Amino acid sequence: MDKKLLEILACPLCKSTLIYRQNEQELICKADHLAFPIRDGIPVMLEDDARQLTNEEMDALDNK
Amino acid sequence: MQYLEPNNDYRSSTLRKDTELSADKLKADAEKHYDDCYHDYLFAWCNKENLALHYGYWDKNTKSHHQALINKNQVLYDLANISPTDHVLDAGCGIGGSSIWMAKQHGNQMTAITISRQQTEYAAQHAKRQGVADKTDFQVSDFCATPFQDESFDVIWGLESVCHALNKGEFLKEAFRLLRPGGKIVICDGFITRREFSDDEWQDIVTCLNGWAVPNLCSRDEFTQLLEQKHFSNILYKDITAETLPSADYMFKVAKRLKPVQMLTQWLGLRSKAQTANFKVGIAQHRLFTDQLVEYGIFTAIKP
Repeated sequence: MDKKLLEILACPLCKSTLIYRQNEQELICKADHLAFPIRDGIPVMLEDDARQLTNEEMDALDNK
Repeated sequence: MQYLEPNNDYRSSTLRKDTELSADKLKADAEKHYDDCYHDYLFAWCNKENLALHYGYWDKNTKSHHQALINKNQVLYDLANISPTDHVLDAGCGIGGSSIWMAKQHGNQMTAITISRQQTEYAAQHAKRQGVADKTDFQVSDFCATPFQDESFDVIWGLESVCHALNKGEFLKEAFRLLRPGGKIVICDGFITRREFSDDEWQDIVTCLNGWAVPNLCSRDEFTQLLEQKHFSNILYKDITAETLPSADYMFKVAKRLKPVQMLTQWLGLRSKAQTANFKVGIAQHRLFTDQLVEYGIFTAIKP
């Protein structure tokens, strides 16, 4: 994922900064507990296509 | 007489009787429209170089339909006074025609969004083929709820895309947020000349809305007011109806020529609803232009 693009990306719902998870190919919004998928290199930034993060995943993010 | 209210969806009243479409379903419908019609557009309208899903711009030097489609990009680029260093958001990018053109012709860094995942895939493939993959980012996103920080762009570009917004004001509000101070917006679209229509005229209006997957249209004055309400300044409108008419004629002729094929394949059940609706537009859109129910033009404005 392009660095410059990552700098301007935000959650489409709350507009907060996103965390890029390269291995999972996901963009995470901690505030909304959502993971937006990157499919074939194209971010899919729609709420309907986002995955709800589990509590365990949220804890893991907080401990990082 | 029929009255076209702002911010309503008029497609549901005909194709989808008794079904209320939510905003999400509306988006899905526009998405499906372009996915269904991709090969029709490539066959009858654009080619793999221009990838244009818009009306062309015909001036006295224009010799071909393809040239008119490419011209349109340059006209918008010049009117908005875009510079090659500007980071542009192509809001409603389709299969990437304008974004690839800007990246290739002017070297602009492009971010391009559409709600159709399939369109982003096609667009990314075309960008790669045309050697501008590093200058173009395609994303699946709603242009009224984009995934970008405030003040991320120098230019917002909307070429025949804002018509797809149920509420045009919501799009402009988001565009204003995304622009840096001094940033520009350029919007090219069709606008209705009045809101009251006879029953015959109404038929043509609804046929076009259905065929284009457009929920409603607004007038030039209403759009000016919306821009003012959202605090844009230096609002200018350039009427290019005359330069657009040859494209409306072209679409009309294509539809007439393809009519036997359409009738046969429709009868055989080989055409989707969206494809059939898109075909009917060819005839109806021509009457909207010749009866002056719509005008066509380009808005430019600045975020102070």
